[in-house]
Amino acid sequence: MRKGWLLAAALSVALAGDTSAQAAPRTELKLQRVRLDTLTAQWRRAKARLDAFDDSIARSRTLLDTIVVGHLRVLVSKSMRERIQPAVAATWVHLDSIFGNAAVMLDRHQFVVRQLLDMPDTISIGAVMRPGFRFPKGREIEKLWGRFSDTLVLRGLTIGATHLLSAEMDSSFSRWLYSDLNPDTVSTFHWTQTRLELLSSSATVAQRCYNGDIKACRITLRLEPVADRATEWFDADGRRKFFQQTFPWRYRSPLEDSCREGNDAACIAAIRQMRLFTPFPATAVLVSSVTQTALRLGGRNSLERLIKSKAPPERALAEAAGVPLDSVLKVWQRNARDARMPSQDVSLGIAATSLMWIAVCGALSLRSSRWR
Amino acid sequence: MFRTIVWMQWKSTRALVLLTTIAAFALPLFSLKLGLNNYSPVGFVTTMQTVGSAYSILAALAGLLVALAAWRADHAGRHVYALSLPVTRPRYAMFRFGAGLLFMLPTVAAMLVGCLMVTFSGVIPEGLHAFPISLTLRFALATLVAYSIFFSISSSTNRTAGIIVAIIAGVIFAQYLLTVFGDNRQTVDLFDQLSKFIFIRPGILSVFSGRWMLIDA
Amino acid sequence: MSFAIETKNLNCRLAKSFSITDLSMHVPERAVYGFLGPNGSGKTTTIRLLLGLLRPTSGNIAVLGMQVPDQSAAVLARIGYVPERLHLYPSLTVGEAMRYHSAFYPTWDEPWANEMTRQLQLDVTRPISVLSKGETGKLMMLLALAQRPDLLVLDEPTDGLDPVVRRDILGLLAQYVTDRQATVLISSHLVHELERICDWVGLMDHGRLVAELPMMEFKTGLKRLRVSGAPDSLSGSPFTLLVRERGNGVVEEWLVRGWTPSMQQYLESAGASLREVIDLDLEDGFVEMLRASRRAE
Repeated sequence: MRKGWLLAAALSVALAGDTSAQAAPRTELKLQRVRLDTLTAQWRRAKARLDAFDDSIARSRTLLDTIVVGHLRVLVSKSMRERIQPAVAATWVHLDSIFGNAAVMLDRHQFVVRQLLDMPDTISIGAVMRPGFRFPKGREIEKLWGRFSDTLVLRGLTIGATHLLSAEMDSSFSRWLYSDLNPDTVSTFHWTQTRLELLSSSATVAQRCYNGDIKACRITLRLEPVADRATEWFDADGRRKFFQQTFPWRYRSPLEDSCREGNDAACIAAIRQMRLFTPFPATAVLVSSVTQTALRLGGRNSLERLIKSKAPPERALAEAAGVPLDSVLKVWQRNARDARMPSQDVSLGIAATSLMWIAVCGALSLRSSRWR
Repeated sequence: MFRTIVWMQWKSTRALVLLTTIAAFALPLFSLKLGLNNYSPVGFVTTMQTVGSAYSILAALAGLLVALAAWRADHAGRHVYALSLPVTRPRYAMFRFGAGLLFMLPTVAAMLVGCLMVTFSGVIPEGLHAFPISLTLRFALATLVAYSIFFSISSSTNRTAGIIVAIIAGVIFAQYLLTVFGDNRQTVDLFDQLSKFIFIRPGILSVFSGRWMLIDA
Repeated sequence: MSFAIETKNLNCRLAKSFSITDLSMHVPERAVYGFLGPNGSGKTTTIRLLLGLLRPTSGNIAVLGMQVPDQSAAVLARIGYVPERLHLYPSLTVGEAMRYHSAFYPTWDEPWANEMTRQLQLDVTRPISVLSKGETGKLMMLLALAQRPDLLVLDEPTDGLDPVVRRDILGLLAQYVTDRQATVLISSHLVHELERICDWVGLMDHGRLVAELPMMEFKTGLKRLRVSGAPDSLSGSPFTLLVRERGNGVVEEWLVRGWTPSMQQYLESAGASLREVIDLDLEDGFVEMLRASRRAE
């Protein structure tokens, strides 16, 4: 309501300014009147929307109940409180384990888990859309919905909380991270992806990193600037491969064509001219896994330190981990090297088990009865 | 005697064996073609992993078809001819079982040839490796396991087959009752329990589970 | 007398409404044993029991001196079996079926099999699936004979065949039995067909063996008598009175087995007077014996 009065006062001042200008031509005055009418109409519409929104919040409050576990505050449909309570408690245990002290920041936020009226066993999970709550600009929490389950509640609230905490990070770190922060432990699959990206990158520096060159890891992850990416990221073979493998659908300049035909000077020139729109060679997978490694090394307060750090990414990571950056990178590189998902390997165990079942089924079929 | 049974069984199985052999040869090549549609090695491996399930499906299908073909002629004559032959029933079933096992060889060999062709195609992205022998071995084991299971079921009487169907129907019905009358959060997922029992080693279908990767990092 | 087939108190229950009950049958060695009975009387079931294709509930089966089902495989090696319906694999040709069948029988007589193929005018290249009923019958008989069995078990081998094919098949059978001195168990409901070739007859009805006797005795000893003034009960009768029916007035009709003309004196000594002796052919005898057995039940 106060905002409404402020707007009206501003309009009055603007109008008064206009009328005092006696020498202004009549047409100008007409234009200002039209502008005043438009602004007044806009203000009324905005006020009506705000009132309606406040009403809906007030209505919701009568239907919703609040569950508070740790620093997690969740508005839930009253009818579902009993069912959702254990799921929220489990979610808090999870968030506490991955956020550590940074979970305190959740105090400033609120979530809602609401029953969908037309589908009794279905819930939606999101943040409260209410003025006064800080909300990450342009990165609203996804509304998850589906059949009620503990897993859905845990997943929805974790995604929401992660979004909110990501928004608190320093913008230079956010830009480096490229995607959302994932404070959870690196999954086996994620490590495999990391390993694969290092191994198969056309940037020679990534392969050197895979082989244990920590300086190369810093360059790969763009934690150390390079003077000339064309020569410091790649060798000649890598440069050619870069244009063969990367973005093959985009427009190809004559320089690139020449590079593909084996002209290394053209490759160098093409890379120097090129603007990269996606992170390379520090892909989202690589920076995400190295950040998670730093958080793991740093223990319970690491996320809080990372969020509060205003330092550039290479220092922010070290601060979060509580150890020098190279130590983080060594652990990360070793984990990536060791990661390999069990795939098609025929172990002795699988072979023995299969042969046993073949023998068992074969023996059973030998007992096929004569009596039919 | 065994040679004659092999020859006779081959007559009724050869079309199916030809079909599965062609499929086994084509599958690795097809998976490579799909993989090459990706521009990144990660996408390549992900595609390989997705296509990987087709190997296990083909193994199951090959086993099923050959097992059913092994008994089809006898089922049609209600086993009267087979039972009137001067050979003990276990020996006869063993001959039929052995003949079917032999018919798996062309399919497995075709898989090996297909995998080797992919391996030596020279188009596998940098950093990735092909595993033609281990994938073929796994395919062979899975095919033989599937064949043994279906052969065993097919060799049984209608009564035994009925018992198996009744057990499956019982599990489905029990799960239905649990879902309808149980508490959502505490309901036991019988299918989940059953699949764990079957697919996790030493479960009968454990060879089918996990990743089937011809090309991997 | 030694028996190629001997069963003792054989019982087998297949369904609620059908069972083989207390079956004791004796097929003498080198005999051609006609196994008679109406459709559904249990002939095929009995044959399957004899071959070990079915498990008896109780009782004992000995075939060619060996126990069935314990020694079924050894017994089957010496038996030529022609089932009621086609049992061969339809995907094979005639020649392939012969090749497949021969693999299981070390006694298979290849030259004779080829000779029979020509004799029966069977085309070895034709698939079994397109053979006529007559050709199928010939092939099954060929397979059963070419393995040189000691015992032939034929389950309605000529059922539904035309007279020419029937003659061909029975001709081959007669030739084989003469040459090899083999035992034959042949089931049929075509009484006249058996009359010519069998020397023993077993009669099945409702899962029971109603009668078992030499063919000659069946043909000559089964009479219908017209008798008057007979007492209500006969004691010490030298023949078997199967049926006693009161006709019009004082004359009764009797169906007797084991009748000889000298037995007329016995009737007269019992105060009865024999009016007429009527000969029955095999079919009449078969029908009358069935009737008698059903009345007795």
